[in-house]
Amino acid sequence: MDGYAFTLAGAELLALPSGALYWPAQALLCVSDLHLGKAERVARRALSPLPPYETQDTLTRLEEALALTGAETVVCLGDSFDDDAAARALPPKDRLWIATLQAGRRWIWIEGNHDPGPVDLGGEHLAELSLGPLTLRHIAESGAQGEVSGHYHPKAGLRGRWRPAFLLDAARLILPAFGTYTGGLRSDASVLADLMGPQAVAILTGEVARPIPMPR
Amino acid sequence: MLQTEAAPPWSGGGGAYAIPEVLEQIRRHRITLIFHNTRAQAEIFFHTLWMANDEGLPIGIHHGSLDRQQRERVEKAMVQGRLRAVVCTGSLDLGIDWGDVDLVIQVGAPKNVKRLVQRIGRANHRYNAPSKALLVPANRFEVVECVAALEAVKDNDLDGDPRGPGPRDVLCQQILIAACSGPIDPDALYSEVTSAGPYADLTRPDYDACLEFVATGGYTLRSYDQWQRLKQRPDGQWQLRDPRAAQLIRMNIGTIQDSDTLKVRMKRGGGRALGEVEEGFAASLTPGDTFLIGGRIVRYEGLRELTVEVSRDPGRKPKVAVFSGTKFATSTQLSHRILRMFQQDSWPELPAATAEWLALQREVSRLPQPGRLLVESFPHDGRQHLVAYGFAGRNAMQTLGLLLTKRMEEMGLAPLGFVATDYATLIWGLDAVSDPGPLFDRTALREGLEGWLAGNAVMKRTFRASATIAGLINRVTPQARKSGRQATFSSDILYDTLHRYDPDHLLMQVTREEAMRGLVDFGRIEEMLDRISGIDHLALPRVTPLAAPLFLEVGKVPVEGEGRARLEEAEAERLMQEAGLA
Repeated sequence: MDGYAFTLAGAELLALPSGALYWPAQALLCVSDLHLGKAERVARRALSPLPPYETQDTLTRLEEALALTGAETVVCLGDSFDDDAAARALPPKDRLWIATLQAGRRWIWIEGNHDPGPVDLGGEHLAELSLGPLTLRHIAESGAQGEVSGHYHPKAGLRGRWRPAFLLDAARLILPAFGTYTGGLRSDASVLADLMGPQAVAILTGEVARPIPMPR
Repeated sequence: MLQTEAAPPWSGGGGAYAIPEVLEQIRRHRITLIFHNTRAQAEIFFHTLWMANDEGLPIGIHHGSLDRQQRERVEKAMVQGRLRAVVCTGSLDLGIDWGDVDLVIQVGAPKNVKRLVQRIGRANHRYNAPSKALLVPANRFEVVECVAALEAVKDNDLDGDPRGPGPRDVLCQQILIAACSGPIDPDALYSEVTSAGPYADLTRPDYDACLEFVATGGYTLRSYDQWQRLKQRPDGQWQLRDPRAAQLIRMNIGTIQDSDTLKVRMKRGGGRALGEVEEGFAASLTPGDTFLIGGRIVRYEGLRELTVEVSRDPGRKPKVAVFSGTKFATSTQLSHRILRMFQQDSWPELPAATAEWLALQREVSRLPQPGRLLVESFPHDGRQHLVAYGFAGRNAMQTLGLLLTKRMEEMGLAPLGFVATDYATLIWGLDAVSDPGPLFDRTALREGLEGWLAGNAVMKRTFRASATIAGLINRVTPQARKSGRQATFSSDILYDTLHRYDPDHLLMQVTREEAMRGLVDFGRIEEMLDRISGIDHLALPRVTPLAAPLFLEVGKVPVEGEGRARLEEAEAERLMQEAGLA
């Protein structure tokens, strides 16, 4: 499997080019910030009628990641839905699709700032998850160790091109947003630069997962 | 044409070489307007002019990227006669009574004959005084273009393209705005729209498709109809579902597309606004970099909530702000005149420096001919370069660049990028091209166009413009300002999504039409292929005189592919090694 292999707090992990994280020892796949139902929420707020295909696209890529890894546990690291109403408004076809993906797997929804409430879809709903040496939560906490989080949609640039990226240092990993309709925050933004240690690495997503020193 | 002591440079667009003569003209006239084609050029010129202005003549600068207050100050000073000259762009064309202006200087080539005549005509609005204007070609190629344009004016040989049908993205905006001011009757609005010239031939199905787009988004997948934008009332009229949307829609009215810009402010001293720079330029800055804005050099301090913070920094050499203004393509007719001029044995009508430049090109390579396509290849700076002198205008030459690099990618030639001007396309890559002939095969180019149209930067740029005009993307939203960049995602994602799941969507059709008409301009590539009977390929040891200016062109387009992947891999490895992380 192509990806960038690294160790965080003793756990051997793999950053996939798609922006998903795989933990082979636990057969666990982690994705963050799916923002399912974004187009619906934007339309509901009368902002604009965005093409309503982002849920389909995001789930297609999630399905591919599951097929690739054969993961037995899936952790969606928060902001899985653009808001709670967007989760409720998911069309039956997409609900069924999610149920199919969940079949035979442990599935955990971590709560995010966009989707704090439990969803009426299968799977567990947790504020955070501790597993072995790692803690999986939506928003990074200062001073945490062995923490895997999302929320910031980090992007990093190489040769002038910025794209979604994992940010990694000795204490924590921040995942890029996996959802189709998501923008990004550059790694040189002060909140990210302050959070990440001086030796931090950004792992670019795209064709290959490519590590570079984190631009700051 | 302004006579200057110094010869125009080999390249560049600033016209700085002509500063002494321009100053002399300012002295001799009451008010001089100095027009530039782009904002960046106006900035550089103003800065240089100010440095040379030993007498302290009152001179101002005016362009669309400057803060409104600053612009208004200049306009007021001009009206009151307190200024002797204003360095400006097209922004000064509008809304100002400039009766006292007695000289217009146009820096840079006028690109087409009609525009030149119009600019000169605007020079003097008094009915009883003749317009007086001087041309300052910015570089040696523009000298040729200016002379050709002046001869065309003398021959009363005006160019110009017929106008196409009214664009449908504009119609969508019209429908949306109409709905903001009250319920709309679809039949009445159709009659009204078709009473306007450009839409006289608009069919009812095309109109209905636009109405459908405005009302529901017009997607094949109808997943959130309860939230559609317009609702049909029992009486058949359409109205906004949520009246509060009117404010947002009105905030986004307009069809003139500017690239994304960020405000520039002083970090200290009350955070005074200086103007705007393009987001892409801001992204290329690192703290400590300096650039020009409003005629002064400032130091980049950082980016704060969509504002570029700067501090005063006199005296250092600035990294120049890049604002890409509207790029008009040199007209077919003017291009042909230039090609014919190239065939002369000598050029007594041209200034000596330019004539020598052409002679040198003829000596080390060859001058392009109307009936042949000249292609040069040479190594430079560790990369292999290929130049095609197609003379098809900037837009078509850009399309040619996209098509050629795509073909090169398929042939494993690892192209890295290209840049296009009105007369040539320059491509650079990792491997040399030994036989360019097959690259220009008409059938292959046309097939390439079909396949390529889908996934390229020009289409994405056109889509962005059309989607903004049609009201799918809001350029201004109070929400986006509040939450910052993280919340917004690029219109490229919308384009990719539609391309994948709804390729026949109205906006995809509009994008295709607009691109073919405007930025793609494939018609002029065909005109070029019709005109040439063959390709002359010269493999040369170094950059040629005619190719040199291309290296300084802005608007370089990167090619995503094998070549870039190879470089990225090497760059990432080097950075990791340097940081001691690998």
